[in-house]
Amino acid sequence: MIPSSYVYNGVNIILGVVCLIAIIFSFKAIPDKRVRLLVIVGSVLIILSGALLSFGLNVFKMYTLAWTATTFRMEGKEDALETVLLFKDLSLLGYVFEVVAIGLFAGIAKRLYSLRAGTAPEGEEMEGEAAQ
Amino acid sequence: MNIILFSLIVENGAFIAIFIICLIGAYASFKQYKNLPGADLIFLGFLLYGVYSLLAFTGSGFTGSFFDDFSKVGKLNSLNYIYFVSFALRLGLVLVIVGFFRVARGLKA
Repeated sequence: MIPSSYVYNGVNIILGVVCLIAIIFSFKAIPDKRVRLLVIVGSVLIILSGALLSFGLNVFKMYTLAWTATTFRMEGKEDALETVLLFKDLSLLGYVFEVVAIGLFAGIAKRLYSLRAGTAPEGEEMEGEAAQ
Repeated sequence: MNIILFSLIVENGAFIAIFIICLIGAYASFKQYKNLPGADLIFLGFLLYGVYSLLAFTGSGFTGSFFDDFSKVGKLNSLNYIYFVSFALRLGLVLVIVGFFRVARGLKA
């Protein structure tokens, strides 16, 4: 059976690598300056959110351990529970980054479509609209 | 107590916002998929990402925390497979990015 942290970290690592590749390729493949900037900002935000979520979850998995340490007042580990809960709050920032990045990606999609509609021949566009 | 409520609102609100944005993006792509190669990939990617956010805020119960619940999942079994499926759907973003490059290929500098 698959451990859950493998899935969580694996998905975040794959997304991070893909976003890194997207940043590198966007300099060559995307001629429009504003779209390129938005792709880079969105990819950086996705990488950040993945890192925050992965790190936060891996620390938060030690909740039971930290709870035990705090409750039984282990020497030098009295604030372990606070530390673990702090990482849960930090991971919220990952979700905020995710919302902003997805918003940027939706904006990129709309801008790309309007750019393509401007360069496409008019006859094709009419046909597409008539078909709908 | 208050900070727990605040974090629940932020987390579930973020997922709802992502779901709505994904629907908007998917609808805009669906209108274009016949004319542009690559728009179908963007449509599919936004749809997968939307399903991920939908499962994330409904799967753990509307007032629950997906993050909190996922941290308690040890290994894949028949009770918690929904967490594995929903988080893997995040990879729909890969399709969106690939679609961007396909659509951008037809742009003139």
